[in-house]
Amino acid sequence: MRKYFFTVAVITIFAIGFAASDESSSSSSSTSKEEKSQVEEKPYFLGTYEVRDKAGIVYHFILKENRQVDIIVNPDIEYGKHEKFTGQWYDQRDNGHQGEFQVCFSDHTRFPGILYPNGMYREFTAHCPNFSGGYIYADYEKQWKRDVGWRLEARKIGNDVDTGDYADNNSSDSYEDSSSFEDISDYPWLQGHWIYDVDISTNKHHRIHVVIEGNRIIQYRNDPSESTNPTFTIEDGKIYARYEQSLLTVYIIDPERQAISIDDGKRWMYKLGTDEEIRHRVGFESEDVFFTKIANQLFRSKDGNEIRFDENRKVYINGVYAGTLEIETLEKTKVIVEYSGGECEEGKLEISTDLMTRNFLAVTKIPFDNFYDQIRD
Amino acid sequence: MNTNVTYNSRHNKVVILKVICGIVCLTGGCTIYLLFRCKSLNIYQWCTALGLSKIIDSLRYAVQNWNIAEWIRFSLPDGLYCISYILIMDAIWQDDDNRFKYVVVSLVPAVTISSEILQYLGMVKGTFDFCDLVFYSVPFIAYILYNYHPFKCNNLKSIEL
Repeated sequence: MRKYFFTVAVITIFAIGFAASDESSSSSSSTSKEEKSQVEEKPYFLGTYEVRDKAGIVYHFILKENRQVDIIVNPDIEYGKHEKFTGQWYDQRDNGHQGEFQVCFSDHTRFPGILYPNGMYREFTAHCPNFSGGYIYADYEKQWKRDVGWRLEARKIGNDVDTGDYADNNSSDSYEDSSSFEDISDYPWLQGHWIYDVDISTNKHHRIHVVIEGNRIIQYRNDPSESTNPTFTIEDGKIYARYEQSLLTVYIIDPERQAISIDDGKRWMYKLGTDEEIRHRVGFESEDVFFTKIANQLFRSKDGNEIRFDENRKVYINGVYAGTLEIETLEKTKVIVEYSGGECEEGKLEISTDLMTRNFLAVTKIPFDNFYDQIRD
Repeated sequence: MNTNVTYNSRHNKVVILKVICGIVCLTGGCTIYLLFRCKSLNIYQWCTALGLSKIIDSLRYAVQNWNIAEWIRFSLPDGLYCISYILIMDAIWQDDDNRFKYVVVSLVPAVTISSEILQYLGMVKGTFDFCDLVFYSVPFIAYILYNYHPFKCNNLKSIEL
């Protein structure tokens, strides 16, 4: 008798378990497959979304099939200037996160977002199951912290995913000509490496590097590895640089003095020189110059490994003699050397003097598995 | 007498082991559902009603970047569910070796497998998935093969007795 009781009990439990795997708002009993096919079929959220950030810049997110996404910055034809970034979107529903997706770019930056219906953000984040899509929200913190940072809300403006109307500029270094904007080529003297100091607090000051190369700007604070590429326009003698977090910086150009002001004439940038000038100053002119520059220099990677060169063209990795250096290719700013004959396995190193870092060297182990920074004295 | 005591002790151990394995499989399947599947599933809603949503959400947050294979996310829970049922039911009917036992044990696997086949034939609402069919069938086939194996436990038991 007990057996029959347990049998009925177990069957009941498993029937409830079967119901547990069903969707709460659906009567279908084949949830997993429908969930799966939902992922495989053309997602409903494909289309063009429009968002305007705090600086007033308009972005169009065009979510296409095959996980392709284009982001058009300043798509307004009237302005005639826009940039196009391409990347891939990942449907986080693949990982069980309803409505969530990420846009990843080639530089490995991620742009998390959540699809949610108009005016439903709070309900959605409170796990509203009756979610239908229609809006995306983007968290510029680039991480999944739902209740911190500031967000943008992108309104779906159409299902069209055709980007034919947009010029394929492909990166921030391409701009269309426009009569309402000045061109950077009007100011050839802007080209080069500029610096200025800012005081963050009473005891901290930072050096801001602004590198203008061709028609792009690279900016970093102290550490060149953390550089940003703001989009910019030049209008009425001012450079409007817009950064990833939509911070807008206005630089004032003084063509007479051939100088850039950062604070309406109160502070000025100092020009270190053009690329060519810096290259001439810091480049590897010959093998001897190169070996002299790296002699007795110590480099350390972020994970703590060390590379040291001595004056006899020998290299030591973590204190172990790795071999003698032989130059494979020598360029003005980049040298590839081979080391062999030591106690370590033979290998190659790429040693470069970054123009942005001026006389600062960087060593990369080939195949690019470790990056070593020169230790400053 | 000693033989009977030994048999009872061993018999109980086997039953307990089967029940534990069944519960572990069921828990594993539920965990996959809760961590890697939509929040709109009933199981999640029920857990939310029980006040477990914070724990589950923090776990989901922790595993959100795991790249779980599709078969683990979608089909493995079905297989674990099936295994769990077979083990628990087999434990309940451990002493018996009659047709009724096999009917009872086959109940869930038969329903799930036939449902999958009927989906393939378009007679039942849903999408056929071969992987699901495999995960439903393998534990059931393994169970049948094991029970028809000449060296199965029951045969040994009868030899001992």
